[in-house]
Amino acid sequence: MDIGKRISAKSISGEVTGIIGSLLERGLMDGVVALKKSGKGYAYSLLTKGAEMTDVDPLAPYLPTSAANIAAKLSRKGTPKKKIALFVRPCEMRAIVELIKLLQVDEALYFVELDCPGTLTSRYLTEHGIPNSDEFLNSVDKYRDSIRPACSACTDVRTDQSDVAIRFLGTGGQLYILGKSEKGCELVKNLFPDAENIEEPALPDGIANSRKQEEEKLFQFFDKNISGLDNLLNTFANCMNCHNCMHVCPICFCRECFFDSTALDFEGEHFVELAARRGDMRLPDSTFLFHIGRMNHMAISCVGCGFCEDACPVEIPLLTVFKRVGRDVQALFDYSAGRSRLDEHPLKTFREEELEPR
Amino acid sequence: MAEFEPKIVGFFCNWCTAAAADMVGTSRMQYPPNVRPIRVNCTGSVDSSYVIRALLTGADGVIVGGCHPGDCHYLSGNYKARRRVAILKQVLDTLGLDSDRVQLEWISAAEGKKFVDTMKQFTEKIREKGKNPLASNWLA
Ligand code: SF4
Ligand code: SF4
Ligand code: SF4
Ligand code: FES
Repeated sequence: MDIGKRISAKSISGEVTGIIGSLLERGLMDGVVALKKSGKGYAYSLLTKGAEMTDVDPLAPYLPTSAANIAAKLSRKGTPKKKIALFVRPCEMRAIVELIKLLQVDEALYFVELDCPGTLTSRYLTEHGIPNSDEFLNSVDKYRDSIRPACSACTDVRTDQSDVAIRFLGTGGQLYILGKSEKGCELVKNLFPDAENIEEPALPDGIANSRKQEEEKLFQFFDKNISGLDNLLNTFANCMNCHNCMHVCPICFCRECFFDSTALDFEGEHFVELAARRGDMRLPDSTFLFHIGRMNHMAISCVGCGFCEDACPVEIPLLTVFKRVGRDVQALFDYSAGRSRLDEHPLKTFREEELEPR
Repeated sequence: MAEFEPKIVGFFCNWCTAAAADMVGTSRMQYPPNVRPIRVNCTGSVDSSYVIRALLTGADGVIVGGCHPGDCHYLSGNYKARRRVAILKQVLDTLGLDSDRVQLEWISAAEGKKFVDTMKQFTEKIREKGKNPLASNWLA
């Protein structure tokens, strides 16, 4: 049971935007971060009291970046004294949980997790433009083929890690606003003085099952087409070394990435020697070093959000690679990235007796 | 054709395994010349990408040598290294690459004999495996 409020909503997104409006107008929040129309797509906007709300669409089927990056931007170098809430999707919440543990995000921010029916690719944005959320929710089937693979295969459909959760999947037009943490419950009570103990609506089996199946398909693809040296060479053959995948990844927060650093600048002679060992070598170098090294650095916290894949100009199936590697390394420590703020981060701790024999 | 001579890169902690290697030298014991030792301040300073780069650019095997659990001069570097190596081996396994080419050993400054035996065993194991197909691959 959670403290919450149920509303019959004609337009889910209209209702959620209304909630943002009241949070700001009634001074319950000094700022709210939510999606707002920008060009052919949507961008995150920090809304304050009096902001024009017409273009705000918190459930728009497009994520321009992980909100975890916004949370880090807002709190890494000092958290605002004012109250700020971010309206985020579950994959973004999972990344936020990881970044809280990695001291990049301050828990003083408020996180409101929205049920997520999926989002469209950046390719869809450039080719067609992104529809608004009402249009998308009313005809999800029409867009099915353009939904990001990360969304189709998103098996952690909801977390219970936010301060407030907004649920509407499978409720037949009902909107549930539920307090999930102490400060979240407080906020819900202030927002709805008639809030009471209510049951969280169950996630429809259909959604969970279809996402599980899609995930299974990705893993089968991995086993057949990605795993093994020849497959790997093929998978990464057209990588441009642009490092977009790292720059957009919410978990890759390093100010200077090792793989962009001068540590990998060598004298020209070095490349000639390396090339001579096999006849030729590809330049620029360090493609595998970057990808396999990056996995070692961050797969323990990979939340399978797929921003890496969406940002790749040559459509390398990065989500499949990182999701699978992430699952396997997390299993070593019975860890699941984003599952709980209370689980210790495996790279921040150790047991005196473990992992032997090595 | 000459017999395959594996190239082994060793990342050895200054306070234990590297000291064991020195002791082996001064007491005129022999360990295989296949091993190229690199002295590091602590196994906790060995980022996985160093090991990966060695494997991608020519090493047939990589061995990391550190202080026994409880003996790290920086208290927990070796425990962290143990987690990192476990992750590295899992990444290699998942990718379908050979994780047995990476090994982590605890060898104290006093264990000259263990150092020699370990280096011999690891070199033989890698010799049997043959050339590392990852070494000097085109994408490196
Ligand atoms: S790849 Fe490693 S060094 Fe680079 S940003 Fe990610 S975690 Fe940091
Ligand atoms: S590697 Fe890709 S899927 Fe994993 S957290 Fe980073 S952006 Fe998300
Ligand atoms: S975004 Fe794609 S092309 Fe760019 S570095 Fe990553 S995998 Fe390579
Ligand atoms: S000082 Fe030897 S492993 Fe840390």
